[in-house]
Amino acid sequence: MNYKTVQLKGRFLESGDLTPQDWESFERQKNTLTEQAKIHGIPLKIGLRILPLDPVRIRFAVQQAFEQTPGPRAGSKL
Amino acid sequence: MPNVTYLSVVHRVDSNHVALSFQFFNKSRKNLLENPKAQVLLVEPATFRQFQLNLAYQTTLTEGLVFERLRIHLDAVASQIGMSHIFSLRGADIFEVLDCRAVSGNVPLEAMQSLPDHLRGLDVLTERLTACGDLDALLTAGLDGLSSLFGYDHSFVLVPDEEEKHLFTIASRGFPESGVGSEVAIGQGIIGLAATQRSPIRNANLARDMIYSRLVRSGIEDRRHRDSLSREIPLPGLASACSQLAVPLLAHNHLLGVLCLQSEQTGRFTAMDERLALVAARQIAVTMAMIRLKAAALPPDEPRHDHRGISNQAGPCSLIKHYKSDDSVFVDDAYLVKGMPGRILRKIVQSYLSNGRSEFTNKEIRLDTSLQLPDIKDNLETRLILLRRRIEERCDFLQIVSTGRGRFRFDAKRRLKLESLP
Repeated sequence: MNYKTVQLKGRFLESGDLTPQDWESFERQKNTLTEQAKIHGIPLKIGLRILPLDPVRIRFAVQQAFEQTPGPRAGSKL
Repeated sequence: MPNVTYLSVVHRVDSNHVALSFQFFNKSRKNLLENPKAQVLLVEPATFRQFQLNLAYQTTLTEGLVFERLRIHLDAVASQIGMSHIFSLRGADIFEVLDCRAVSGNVPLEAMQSLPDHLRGLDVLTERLTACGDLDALLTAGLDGLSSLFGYDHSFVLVPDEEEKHLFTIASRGFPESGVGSEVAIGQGIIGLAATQRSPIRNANLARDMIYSRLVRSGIEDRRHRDSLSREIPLPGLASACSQLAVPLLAHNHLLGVLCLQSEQTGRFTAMDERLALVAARQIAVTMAMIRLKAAALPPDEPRHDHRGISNQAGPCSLIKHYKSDDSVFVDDAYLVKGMPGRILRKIVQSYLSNGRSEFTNKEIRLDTSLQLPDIKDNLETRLILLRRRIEERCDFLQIVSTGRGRFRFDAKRRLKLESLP
């Protein structure tokens, strides 16, 4: 787990339910988080609370990207 | 367009206000000054429950209690990872909390646990502490009581050395190794800053604080401040500490030491634990001061002049080496102790071998000019405790035993030879 972050901003295109591929991706990320939670000694049932139970798919056209990792460069354009 | 960013600290000021740390002039800052509305998503460390706060910016504080509280917290973590004096807190942004609600949908929220009755525990603890007649008993009663009465199972106490440059561990509870004798520099790291700032420092999520700060560090390692970075300081105690609470031991604003509590559980120490530890620390400190005053005022019990210490002349012989350069002492080439405790041990062993003495008083040690003890303000007892505990841990054939108020006996179950080296 780290705080390396990129912020993407753009124009909204559409939203809807997750497709089977989206669910696969969601599960992959969930598993990654579960592994990280274990490393940091966080009980699984607590660690999973950070995830939404009802995820929504959003599609948007990226127009800007920003470095958002905590530190002096947070907010600078990429 | 909204902007999203991680925050290092969200501090609860009162029931209607929070303070957010303002460290960097960046996009978030610019946005905030243009549009003073913000929303913060808080994650409760112990439960991962999430709360959404709608906020309205009011002002930025650059001094006062709230600002100092945030500054000390950030400085302490920064110092721990070797980033002292690189980033200072520019301000504490004060926000009015317009709305606070639990993020629903992901988990049912448990009912809040009722607060335990800590007054009863404090009553028992302070009764036990004030009954202690010497420092050793006080430290043992204090750490045992914090564990049995409040569940603080991993704790240690550090006291300043004679030059007040370092704190060394004098007592601990709940660790695989006691760590007695381990040092931290006063003014560096979380514990060292708790000492200089005379302030408690609580890390509800130590792992997160460290990860966050290391990331900031990695972001500047190739930048202009690189030369200012120093090495990360290892935290004493639990290797996997997720929560920590460091509380100074103060009597009349004089620093007598630092009490440190650790836990492998994230979010273990709340604001209430901090208050509780502060009360306990004050009582420990006041009792420490009283014990010192009493030791200085009362004459020691008369030592018995028996010579049984050297009666055992048969069997194996151990070599005790004393190095004058730093007063380190090695027993059979294994390091035992250094500094003033090392000098005291050399003196004791020398008297034991040359005169057959095994009984000593604190007063004669204090007044012995050959020891060249600095003005340690009746702090001799802490050094004797450190010496005794180090011997207990590392040398099963030597022993220092208290034999009454202000006196002790040195026992050796082997023949000894003393060698002084430069």
